[in-house]
Amino acid sequence: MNTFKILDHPADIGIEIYGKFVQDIFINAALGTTSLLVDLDLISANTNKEINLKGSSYEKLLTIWLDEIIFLFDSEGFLVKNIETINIDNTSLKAIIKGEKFNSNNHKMKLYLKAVTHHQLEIKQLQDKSWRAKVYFDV
Amino acid sequence: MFNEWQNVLQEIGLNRYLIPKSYNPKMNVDVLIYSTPELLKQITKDLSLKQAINVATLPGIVGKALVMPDCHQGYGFPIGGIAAMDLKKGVVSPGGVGFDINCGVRLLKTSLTLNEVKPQINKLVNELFDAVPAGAGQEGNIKISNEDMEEILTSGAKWAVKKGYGREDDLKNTEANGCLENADPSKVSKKAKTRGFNQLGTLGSGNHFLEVQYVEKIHNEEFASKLGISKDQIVILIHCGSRGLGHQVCTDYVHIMEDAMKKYGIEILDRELACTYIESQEGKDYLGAMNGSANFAWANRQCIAQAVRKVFYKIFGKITVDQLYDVAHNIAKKEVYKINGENKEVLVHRKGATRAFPGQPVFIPGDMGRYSYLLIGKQGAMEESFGSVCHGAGRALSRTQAKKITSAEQIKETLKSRGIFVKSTTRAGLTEEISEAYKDVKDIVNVVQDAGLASIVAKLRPIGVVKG
Repeated sequence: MNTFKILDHPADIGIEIYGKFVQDIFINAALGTTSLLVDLDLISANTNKEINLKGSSYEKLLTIWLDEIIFLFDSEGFLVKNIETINIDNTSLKAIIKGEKFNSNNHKMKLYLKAVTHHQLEIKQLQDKSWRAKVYFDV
Repeated sequence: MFNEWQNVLQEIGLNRYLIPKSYNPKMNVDVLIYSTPELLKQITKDLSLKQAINVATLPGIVGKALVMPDCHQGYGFPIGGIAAMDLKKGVVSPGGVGFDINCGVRLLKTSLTLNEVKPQINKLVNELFDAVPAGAGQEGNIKISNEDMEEILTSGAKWAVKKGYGREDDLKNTEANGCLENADPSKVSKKAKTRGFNQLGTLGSGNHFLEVQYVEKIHNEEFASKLGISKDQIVILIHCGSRGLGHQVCTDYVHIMEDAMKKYGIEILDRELACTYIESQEGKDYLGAMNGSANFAWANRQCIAQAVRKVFYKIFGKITVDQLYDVAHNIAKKEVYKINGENKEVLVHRKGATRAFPGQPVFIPGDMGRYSYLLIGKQGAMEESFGSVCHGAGRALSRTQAKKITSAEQIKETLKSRGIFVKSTTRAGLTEEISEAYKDVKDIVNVVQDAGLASIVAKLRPIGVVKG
């Protein structure tokens, strides 16, 4: 199963995310978002961060989760390499993420993401029980 | 003609098209589009007009929902969209301002000419690239404290001038004197302040830039003379906004407004038009935070302008670099207009639209390979478009489409052959921002001039570009 693909948009960019379980959607969304910023291959996993979020639905949690990924990059240059653990229910998300700080010697900036938008935002379980989500970013 | 819109759009005057409110029973007002048949062919390909119709359904909207010729699909509002709201009955929508609050443009004019600068353009651009960090992942050169941040949010460009970044007369030549009153730093989240903390004096990425330009043609001698603009004069155009701080404020308040809409029973056709009543607590909080973000953007452009000045003084010695003006093109402001014969204060959302008061300079940047324009606002804008005009060229191709056309190296060579030296921190800063990705700004400004909203004063050509 592919983890995500890039979606075209008149002015910005989006990703469609796939996963067997809902946790996979959150993992693949985080990595898909990061891959828009910098090639994932160039990132090392040498720093841990703990994330605790609350939201009223999977959809809300997905936007808050990706808001956090963008916030961590924009405020401290933190790039996510992988998600070590993640626990999600309908109203909360707890995760340990691994990555490193951006440095221009190792990382080539691809695109700057301003924010997560709610344009065509969705996260849903398909008939075959797998999950799919869609999210667009303001560039 | 324009596919599904053929029988909907009514041509009501020169470059003016109407979607009457009878088109959809939920519309409170008509939609007025400033455009041409050619531009409409592009506009009708994306969701711009659907979004304009959605805007026309907002509670408390006054006059008409307006769409400028550079429009393209945005979030909630189309980019190039304007909507004025009744203060008591109307709503405010972060989508009507944009994620980049007070993204705007500043023009500096110098005492230099093209012949004096051209031989040193590479050196100049390289030094500007170092002096003004452009791309993401880079910190600014200006270190501030928490107290500074509070003061920046409250007093905007005034803080910057007080700290030695520029002069008092820069403030007089900035929209709102570089500071919106009634900013409330307490309504700007800690996250937003954290994002913006290391970003003062930085350009950002995407379509933001710093351009060294020359005045290629004077279209209106009288206004050019009044503004101190002459042929072959070197000017500098700075395009950027409130950086991560503003983006986070918009992000925060979209979540808040989604809850507020449930609380106040506001129904909208598009969730991206998340909004709340201007007079609600959430509305007041957003405006307080938005004003603070706008002030951060003005402080940012003030600091960048001073960094630009320093580079010019270093290379060219005793010259003058004065500010012509600075305008916002993503903002919501309380302004007074004559509506049904009476003066009425309204909240004007300008989403990718520039204020154009009579006699006020307006800058309409084109893409980095072509040209930009200096205009001056006219009374027609006050009577018809809530004192507003377009803001740029407007995208014609998506980023994915644009990237396929050519490589970063080829773009640099093409621009070099046109006498333009460009430096960018990302490939996307070049490949996604090529000329073909944008409409021709000449067509855009001609529409607003022909509609009597503004007059073209001068055409500006880039010779050096710094991009993120």
